[in-house]
Amino acid sequence: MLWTVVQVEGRNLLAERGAWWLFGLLTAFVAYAAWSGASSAAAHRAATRAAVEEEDRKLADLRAKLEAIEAGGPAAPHAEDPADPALVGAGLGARAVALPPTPTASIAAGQRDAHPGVVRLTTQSRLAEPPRGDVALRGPTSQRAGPFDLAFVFVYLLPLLIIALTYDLLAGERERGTLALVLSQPVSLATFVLGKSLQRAMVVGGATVVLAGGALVLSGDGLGSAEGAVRAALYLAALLAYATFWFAAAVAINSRGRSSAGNALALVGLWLALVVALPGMVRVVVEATYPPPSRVELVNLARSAASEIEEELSGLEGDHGAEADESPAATRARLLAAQEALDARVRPVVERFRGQLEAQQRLVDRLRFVSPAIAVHEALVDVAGTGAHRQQRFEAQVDAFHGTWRALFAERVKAGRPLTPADYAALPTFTFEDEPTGELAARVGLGLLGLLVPAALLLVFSVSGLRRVGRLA
Amino acid sequence: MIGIIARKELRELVRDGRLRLVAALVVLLLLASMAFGWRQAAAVAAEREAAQRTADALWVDQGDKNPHVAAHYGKHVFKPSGALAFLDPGVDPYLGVTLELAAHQRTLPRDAAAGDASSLARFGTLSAATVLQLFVPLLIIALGFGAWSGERERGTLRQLAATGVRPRQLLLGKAIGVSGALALVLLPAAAAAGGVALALGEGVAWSRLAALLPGYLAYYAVIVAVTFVASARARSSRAALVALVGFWSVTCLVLPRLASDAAPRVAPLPSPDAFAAAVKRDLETGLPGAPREDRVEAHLGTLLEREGFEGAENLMPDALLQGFELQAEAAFEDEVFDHHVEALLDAIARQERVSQWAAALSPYLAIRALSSGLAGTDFAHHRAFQTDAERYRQALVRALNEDFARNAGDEGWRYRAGRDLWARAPAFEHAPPGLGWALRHNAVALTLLLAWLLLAWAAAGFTAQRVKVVG
Repeated sequence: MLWTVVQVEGRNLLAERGAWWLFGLLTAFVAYAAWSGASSAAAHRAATRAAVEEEDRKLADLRAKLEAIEAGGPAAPHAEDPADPALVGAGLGARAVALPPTPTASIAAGQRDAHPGVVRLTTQSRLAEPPRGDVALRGPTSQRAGPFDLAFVFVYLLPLLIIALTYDLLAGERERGTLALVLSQPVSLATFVLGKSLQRAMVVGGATVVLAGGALVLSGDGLGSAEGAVRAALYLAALLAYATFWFAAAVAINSRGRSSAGNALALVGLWLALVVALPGMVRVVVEATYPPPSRVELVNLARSAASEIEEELSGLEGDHGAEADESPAATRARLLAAQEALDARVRPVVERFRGQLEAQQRLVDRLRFVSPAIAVHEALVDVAGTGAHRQQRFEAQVDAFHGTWRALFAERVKAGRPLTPADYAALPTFTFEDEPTGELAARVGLGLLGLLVPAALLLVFSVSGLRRVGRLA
Repeated sequence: MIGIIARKELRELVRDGRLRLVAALVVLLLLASMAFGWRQAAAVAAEREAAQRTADALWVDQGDKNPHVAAHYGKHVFKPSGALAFLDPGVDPYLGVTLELAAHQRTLPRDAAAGDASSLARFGTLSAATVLQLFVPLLIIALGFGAWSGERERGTLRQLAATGVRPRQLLLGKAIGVSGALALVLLPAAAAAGGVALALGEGVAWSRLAALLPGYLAYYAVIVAVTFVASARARSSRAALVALVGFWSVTCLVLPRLASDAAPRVAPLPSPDAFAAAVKRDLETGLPGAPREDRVEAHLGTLLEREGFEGAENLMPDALLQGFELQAEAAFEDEVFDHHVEALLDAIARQERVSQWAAALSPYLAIRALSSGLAGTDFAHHRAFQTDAERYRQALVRALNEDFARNAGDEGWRYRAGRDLWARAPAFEHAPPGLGWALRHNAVALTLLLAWLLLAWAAAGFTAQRVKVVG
């Protein structure tokens, strides 16, 4: 019997022109989002790679120059001496490090445009003065609206499609007068509703898997790896769980027995509350609970710390014509010490910054269960590797690497030991250690429970309502 | 007649329990978001004022040093937040607030709040403007989707037609009824906005607040008209509702994102690295067609001529000539910076115009641009701040270089100036542009909003004339 209902409904849906339009529109949106996501992920990938290679090339050039000098070539000008560890460390050479995009980066842009893709590390304090390149060159209105990525299409628009297909599940039959007719047949209301929902769920679920899967296959990069496969599976699981939630919500609202316009209003209201209003409110709560310290005050703090070490700094900067009273090597050692002192002064404030941002994310991790939209969005950015967890992991690793990098140069500056070609060869490189996929799967899986548990509760809740509607019909 | 219709409509809407609940929620959201915006705006204003005072103190207390060294040390200025940021933060969170003003560099503002946002940032923020621009239209749709179709379904439209009431009168009456219900929601919000503006005190531009009102009213009038058109033309209330929610999600959700995707394709921006590299190259060699040496020479010539030292370089004291040379070099660098930075800002402005033009397809985009323009939280205001700050920077560096030229004498680079000179530099003042300026910069959005208004009401009148009495 159930299968008959599914088949009849399937034929009905095929005959409905509106449904074709809706699926056509969804396909177009998904295709565009996949293309747009792929092109921006590729552009990001290319830009970070170019920046990293550019700095590597500069280091290689310095090394070649040094080898040429050691082989008896002409000496380099004083300010470009590749053997001077202070000069090379302070910016003549640098190591650019980047957060590598995941194979599934095209799913969600996340916070990608809010963070610098590439960080250049020198012996300068990274904490007091954000290095050049931190300012994202992007129109503010574009940044505000956010990109048209797959996460947007699925988080915002998929529920609307489900609502459009389900708001008149029962009420439509009653309003057309066909419900009484159906119930006079040897079919229970529960089977009927189940069959109708099942048919739509199969269509939407199938369309989601085909469209979302196809979009990822077209836009992903390196999905064949184990990591790529895990991420792709988590992505599809998240979308299916999200669709399940909205189906359950539609069945629950249909079970109250209101008119189809009333159902549509209630579902759209629910959508508005869960997808648009609640996330905005949760954001306000999160940022009010753990406000990040003021960047503006950090500027002044770094500045006054620097001006207390000013004596040291003023020796060089801007004094174009002054004769130096001490040897350049000593000046440089002092400058380096000044940078280290500055770092030590500013570090507690920056730590407080990071602490607050991490606390915010921990709160978001808990509050994501407030709205399925937040839960699925968090899952998607996590899977795409453009979320806060991966970013914070990257920051921590960059910090550690920066410490190693500086220590290496500082040691040579303090000892007055020039750099050799062998030193250049031994300079450390940065590799980002990604989170083990097990941890990622655990966090995303927990988020999916936040979708499936409410869905189950809604279905249980609708059973009693359906009994009543059955009697009324 | 119209009055009677309007009263009947209003009474019906007010008596609907569900609508009362939704309206109450919208009022609550509006008041809560405004309270939050107020807190935020007050905190930001206090923070930036304090920071500016500290920065000014750091400048004055920097100790004795050569004026050109002081120019390197530089000064920070902080962007004051928009006049009505508590109502509409606009794109402020995506724009930098800290600007470093020093010799040999023109930087871009940094420390945008968006850099420190949690991953929820993609959902946007809940400001009064969000509620007014996104949620109130849905409330209007809920109030009005059954205006024609509901009467037809209940069979009352035929009776009405039989009484001889003209469709236009009916349309107007219904519009007034819906507006009345809407006013019950918006009046508390308007009163609260006025109250917050009073509480924030000085710095609030009342004329801007007053100009926002007709802007929003025009926007709502468009939504009311679109709702009536859909209600009159749809086969059933249900179909009208589905169509209107579709209209809302396309104009308020889909189009803004499509516009945001299109903008960088229409007006691409250089990558930060490419931009920095181009500036560096031109600082070394000069802009195309104007080699560095020629330009520095020309600036020096102008300076010497102005000061009456033309052709007497060899007789001038060293420090005087060096000071003028420093200034000539600074003038050359400013040319390069201005060329590149203005080109960059022009490209961003073009991107912003793309989103304004997209308002041809979405009234939401029109009011969004207009509202943040009037609130002083759009890119045009940001640029005005940057322009003022740059002018101030150039004047500051010039004053310091000229002090070096005139007063260094035999001391040369060993010359030290002190507190007196630092304190003589005027404080940085940035007066936000006036209302007319803000309107001019949003002329496209304003025109398109008016076009929407005319077209939507023409369509509403047209469909009212031809509404089917029986479904």
